[in-house]
Amino acid sequence: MNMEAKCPDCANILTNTHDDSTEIWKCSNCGWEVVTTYTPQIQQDTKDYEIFLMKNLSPEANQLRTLARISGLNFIETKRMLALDDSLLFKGNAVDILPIKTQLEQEDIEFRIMPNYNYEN
Amino acid sequence: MGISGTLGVAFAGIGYGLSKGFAALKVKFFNKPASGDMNFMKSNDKFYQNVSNRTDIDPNGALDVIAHGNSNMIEMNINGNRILADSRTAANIIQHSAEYNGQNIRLLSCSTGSTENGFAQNLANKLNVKVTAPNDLLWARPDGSTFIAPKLPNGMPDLSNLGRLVDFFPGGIIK
Repeated sequence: MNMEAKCPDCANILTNTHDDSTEIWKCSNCGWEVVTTYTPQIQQDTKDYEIFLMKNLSPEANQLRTLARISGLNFIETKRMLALDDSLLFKGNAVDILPIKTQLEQEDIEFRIMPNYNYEN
Repeated sequence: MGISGTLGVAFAGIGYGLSKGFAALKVKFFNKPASGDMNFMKSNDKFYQNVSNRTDIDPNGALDVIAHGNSNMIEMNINGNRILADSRTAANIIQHSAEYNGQNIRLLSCSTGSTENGFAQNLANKLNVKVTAPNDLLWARPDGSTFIAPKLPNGMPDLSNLGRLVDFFPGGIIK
């Protein structure tokens, strides 16, 4: 997001850095500085996302375990869910979705996220 | 101030996590200057270092709570772990801290007063005190001066659109 910004005191190009949750604008020429909270884009995203499983998925035992854990269903209910046209596995905000997405990728489980989800670990 | 403040928070966190009764002792291990604040940032956090130089510490007897935040949560650095705390968790930790004795709260925490029913209002309801909070991002300079402003598209503060501190009262009256 950040474009070039100039120091209000000496017009030198400012540097922009993050240290955990702190965002720092600093002028290396005159020492001008201001800081605020750094909020990652994912935390600013207020949209709800849905994770759908691909139709006719035939999960192995470990994958089924993962899906059951994520969905909060037992194994039988999870298998029933997989038979549906649109198997909604999980719904949540961008922050909630990311660890689920990571888990599914690690387990090689096919899925799609609606709307388009652009965050990576 | 930073060390004692951090230890105070750590103690509060331990008390909150282990035993309400233990925390209720409100033991103060270190004498703290009359700074009137609780810090939830790392002691070497640049925001904390800057805001620690402010001259209006303890405004009208209010307890300053220093933390990174957004409209619904604040970030608490407790024993080296960063947790996102909603108003309920934050209220519990504040109530059990040595620094808190029922005084009003001023949140030096970004955007915590940006919505009518957000973090500041809920904290006011839970603590039953007035909570004052910035309605947009809080920025701090090295001399301790602060201002409230949104970001420009390039990420710098928009000084043509300054925000303000908003007072939230228990029950939802906002000034």
